[in-house]
Amino acid sequence: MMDWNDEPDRASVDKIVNHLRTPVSLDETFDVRVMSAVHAAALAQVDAQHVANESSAEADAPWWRKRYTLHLSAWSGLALAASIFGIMLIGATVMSRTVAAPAVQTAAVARPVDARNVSFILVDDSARQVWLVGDFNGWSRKQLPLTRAANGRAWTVSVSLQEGRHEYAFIVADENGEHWVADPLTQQVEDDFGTTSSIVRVEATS
Amino acid sequence: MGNGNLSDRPDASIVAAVLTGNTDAYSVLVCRYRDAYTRFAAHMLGSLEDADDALQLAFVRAFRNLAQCRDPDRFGSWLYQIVVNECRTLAARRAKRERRMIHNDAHMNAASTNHPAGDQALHDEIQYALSRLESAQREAFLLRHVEGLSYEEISEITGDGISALKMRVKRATARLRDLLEGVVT
Repeated sequence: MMDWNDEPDRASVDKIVNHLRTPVSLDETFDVRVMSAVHAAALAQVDAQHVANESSAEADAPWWRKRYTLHLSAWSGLALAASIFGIMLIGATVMSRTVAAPAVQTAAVARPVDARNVSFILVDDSARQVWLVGDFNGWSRKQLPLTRAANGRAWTVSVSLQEGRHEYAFIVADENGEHWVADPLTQQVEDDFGTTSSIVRVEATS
Repeated sequence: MGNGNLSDRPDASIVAAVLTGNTDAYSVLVCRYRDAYTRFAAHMLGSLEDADDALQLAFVRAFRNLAQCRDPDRFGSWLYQIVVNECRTLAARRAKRERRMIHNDAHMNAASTNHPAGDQALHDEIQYALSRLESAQREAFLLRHVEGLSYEEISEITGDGISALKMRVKRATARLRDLLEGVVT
């Protein structure tokens, strides 16, 4: 029980408090919206970790595997370009006089297939249907439909993705037609044609 | 989601599940604390929409920093600190933008002397009076008397001293009584 002993007018204060104790609820989509943001945060953490690992790996790499930046003046740049052109010209002349080398076979590097289930969530209460498109399905429309959650606003789909960086977007169908929608909660990238997609990085399961 | 078996587990167990990669398990914590903290945020900010923003930011911030929760058994108390901070930040930002509805003495006097009958009207009066309190006083009053926390708990959540908190609650109570004179008496 509350200690109202130092309150001279307990009844009136009790009345105020009783009113303020009335339960207050958020709308039914709150949990889905929060979890959508939480999943985005989780993916962002994976993304940040991936970048950190790449930086760390590069820092630990031997000198011949590190990336360097050359700062050249205009004249030295011109001199370097002329030198490269000269070397290419000589090389082309020599190659044209030799027997054609056998075509180089690109050996397929054996890599372990490692995949993770990634949940994609979009909150859009005006959508009638939503599809996921990405480089993992050849940007094929209407191949990966999202399912509408019980609250009617959130759309979800879970896809098994191999480790690495993937670009994706949503196709949202509403009363105005179909729209390309980049995930508003993740890092975005724009292609040469101005189309914006989103990025998800998938780390290998340990 | 498969969180059915998690919903009965203590906070520490769920926190451990989330930290080991079961992001979906976090929804159990969201469901567990959402309503209790919504009331505080709604009264602090005077708006359900702002409370929604504050709670969402708090839950996401808590998730991002979950590894820093030193005592997962007391996740709720740790989350409360984040909610209080988010409310303070939102209130300060909103005050700068002057987004709140116009509050002035003429409005208050008119409302006090000629308020409509009914619970909703009374609730509005009380909420309005609450909004007139200094932010720190409102926060202390709500945590102490509406949420029923001890001064020790409030001190832990807000980082303020107990004597200062008691003074704020006392002043808030006196101010509310003044503002609501003739309404609740």
